[in-house]
Amino acid sequence: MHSDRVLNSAAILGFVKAETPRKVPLEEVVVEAYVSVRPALLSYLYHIVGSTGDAEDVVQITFLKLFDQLQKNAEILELRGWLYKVAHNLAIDSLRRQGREESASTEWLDGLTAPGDSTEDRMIRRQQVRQVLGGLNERERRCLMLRAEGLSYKEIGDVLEMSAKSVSVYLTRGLKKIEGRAL
Amino acid sequence: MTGTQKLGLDNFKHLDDASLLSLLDGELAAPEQKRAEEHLASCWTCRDRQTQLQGSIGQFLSFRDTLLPEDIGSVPAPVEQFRQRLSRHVEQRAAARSGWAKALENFRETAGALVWSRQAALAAVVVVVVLIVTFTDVLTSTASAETLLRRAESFESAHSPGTNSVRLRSVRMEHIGAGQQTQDLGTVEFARDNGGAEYVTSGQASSQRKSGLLVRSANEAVDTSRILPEEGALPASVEHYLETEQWLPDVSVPEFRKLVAARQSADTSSKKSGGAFEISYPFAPGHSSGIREARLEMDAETYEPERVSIVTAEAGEFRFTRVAEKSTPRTEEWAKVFGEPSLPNSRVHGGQSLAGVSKVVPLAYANSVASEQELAAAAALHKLDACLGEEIYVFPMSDGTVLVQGLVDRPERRDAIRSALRSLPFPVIVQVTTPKEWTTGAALYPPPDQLAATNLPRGTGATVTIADASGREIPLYDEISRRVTKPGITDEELHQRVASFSNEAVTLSRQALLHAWALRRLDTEFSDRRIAQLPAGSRQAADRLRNEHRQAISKLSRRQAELLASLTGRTLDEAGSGEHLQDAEALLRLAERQNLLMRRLFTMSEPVGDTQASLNLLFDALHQISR
Repeated sequence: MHSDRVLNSAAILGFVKAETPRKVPLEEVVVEAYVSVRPALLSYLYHIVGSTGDAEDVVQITFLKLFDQLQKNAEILELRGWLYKVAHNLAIDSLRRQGREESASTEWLDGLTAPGDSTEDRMIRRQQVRQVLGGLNERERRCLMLRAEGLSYKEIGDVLEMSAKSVSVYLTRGLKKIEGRAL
Repeated sequence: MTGTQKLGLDNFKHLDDASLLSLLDGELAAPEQKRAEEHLASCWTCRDRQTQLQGSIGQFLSFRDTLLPEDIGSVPAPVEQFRQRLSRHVEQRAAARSGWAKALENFRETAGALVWSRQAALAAVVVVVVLIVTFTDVLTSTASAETLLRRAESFESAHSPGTNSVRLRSVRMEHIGAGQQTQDLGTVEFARDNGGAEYVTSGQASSQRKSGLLVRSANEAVDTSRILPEEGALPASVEHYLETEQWLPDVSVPEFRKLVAARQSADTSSKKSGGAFEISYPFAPGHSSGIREARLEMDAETYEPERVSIVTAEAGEFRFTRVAEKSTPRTEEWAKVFGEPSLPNSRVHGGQSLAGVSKVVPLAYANSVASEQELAAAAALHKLDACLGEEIYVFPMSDGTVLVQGLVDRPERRDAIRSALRSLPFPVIVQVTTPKEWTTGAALYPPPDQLAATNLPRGTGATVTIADASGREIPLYDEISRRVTKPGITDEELHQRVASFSNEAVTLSRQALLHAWALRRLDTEFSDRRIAQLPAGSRQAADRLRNEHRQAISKLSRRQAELLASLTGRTLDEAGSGEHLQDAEALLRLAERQNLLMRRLFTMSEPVGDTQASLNLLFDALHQISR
């Protein structure tokens, strides 16, 4: 059912082989895409929603949307940017639904703990993180997080709805604030 | 091209950070990249700056990774779960593509064979919609029930609440018995946000037994019985059917579809009477629910659903009529309503309530001022030291009441806190339990505002491991041994004494940190703005709470200093000078610092560099916070 175009976009992203026979059902193409892109998306989303469970849910919904999009035969020109944009928006929606607004504060850090930490370790780690990141505003943080995922300035700009030039400015500002603040 | 470029003077101008970073990221256009590279090749300053930027990138990455849970990379993808979810999704999509949508698809396939571009597809959709609308409007009175239902659906989706609003709707429930007597069964209020989450509350006409309320997110299964007309009003078989189908007495297309989903019949009919269409969905003869048919009435011009009727075989008709509807801004309190699961055990109070809906939710500090009750509850908790790291919070509620909510470790602690709060001269809603007792599904609110940031883990004990099997010791083991040893004691006894000494030091330090934390928390909880309206006596009470924490911090740090005196050879009076600290944030930072240093020196959990230097730093920190 799905066209060459679907397979081509999938192949561009590297999660299906270019020579995948056309008989593979679209569902399977999407499952493969999910498996290979999930780790990167999961860690990005974790920094927004603050829990692995919520992040996983957003990843899955993102791929359900990818399925819809491919089934409609709609063309997705920049698949990676598209996935991050959809996932990002879903994550923000999910925060809002839970009554948690994203803000310039570091409230999002509160859920972040590493298992196996002692209670004091947790407190101290949070404090250190808060000190370092507390100075970053939301846009700086998002730009840095997306750049760390390997997105180009243009892709980041698409996700956050700003120009590539602005992305470069936010990245520079963010890095300046972090300078010399090793944990 | 600028003058400097013409003269080739660019190489004399240093590159700015944005250019350096863009160069590192491969984001410069080819000519700029060439110029930048040429400049770098000849400029140590810029090369050095570029290296610094690279260092910051490294720092950010390590920092980002620190925040991720350790297992995030190692947990395998739940592929099977996703596969099932996807296949359910595919089925739902297929089911949704019925009716004229399917016709549209057929049309598109034919048309698509000729021209296929997005514009053409759009045009095709427009044409088909126009065709259907024109065609059915000519034959208004004979439009099929399914067509009408879809029109109603379109109406609803065109009028669904926007991102920043909440739609409120009241539905009156009535029973029409034999002889057309009408019995009022109460009113249900629905609030829906655009995420599909729904908050429902019902006031029963004849009884207070079920002042039910519930919140459900899209497609979530909930106990709908709290919202249906009270027990006995509906025949048991009908009630059972409605609960199974998760039907709520809302006058809407999705609820109507649920109502008729299991009717085991495909018949439908429609008619137009007056200004309304009525569509009728008969149930299979002898249907186990005892329902004969379900009807939906909608406005003949707008297709807005107005009434749902359930006609039963033996108990007459149950009628659900939309009586009021409006939109309201999605305030923070509304966001909280939708964010929380239902609170089945809490009592709903009257008083000032949210836009016609009586669910009570915690208010943000930013949107509220402190009440005397709130302050008194906080003082009662303070007296029990429940402000020192226990997860118990005082919530100012939307109806003006005060809720104290939290989890404690032991039943004795729970009882102590409950009785302290109950002895207050005004009612406080107390929900303090052990984790085991916490009712499943009851809302445990997140700490108000930024208290989360100052939230401390429970428990105040800190134990020191002085040595382990590998023979590792705490950094100050030898020094402490010399201080605590006595003639004639065994190694084992000495070991124990070192442990006690260290334990004491770490515990004092942790206590000081907890007090600094509580002080910082009070600053948010009872900020100047929040207590400005309170009588002088209450404001003084707030100051008293703060002072007690300050005194505790001072006392605790002095005791630590005394313990350390023999190790450092210093006493507090001759330590480095420091300003008296008024700022709770600064005090907290220092308290954290002393706690970290103390842990480094007296436990094995932190690596320590120069022991003597750390001791001096610790002493300096203690000096500052003891003032």
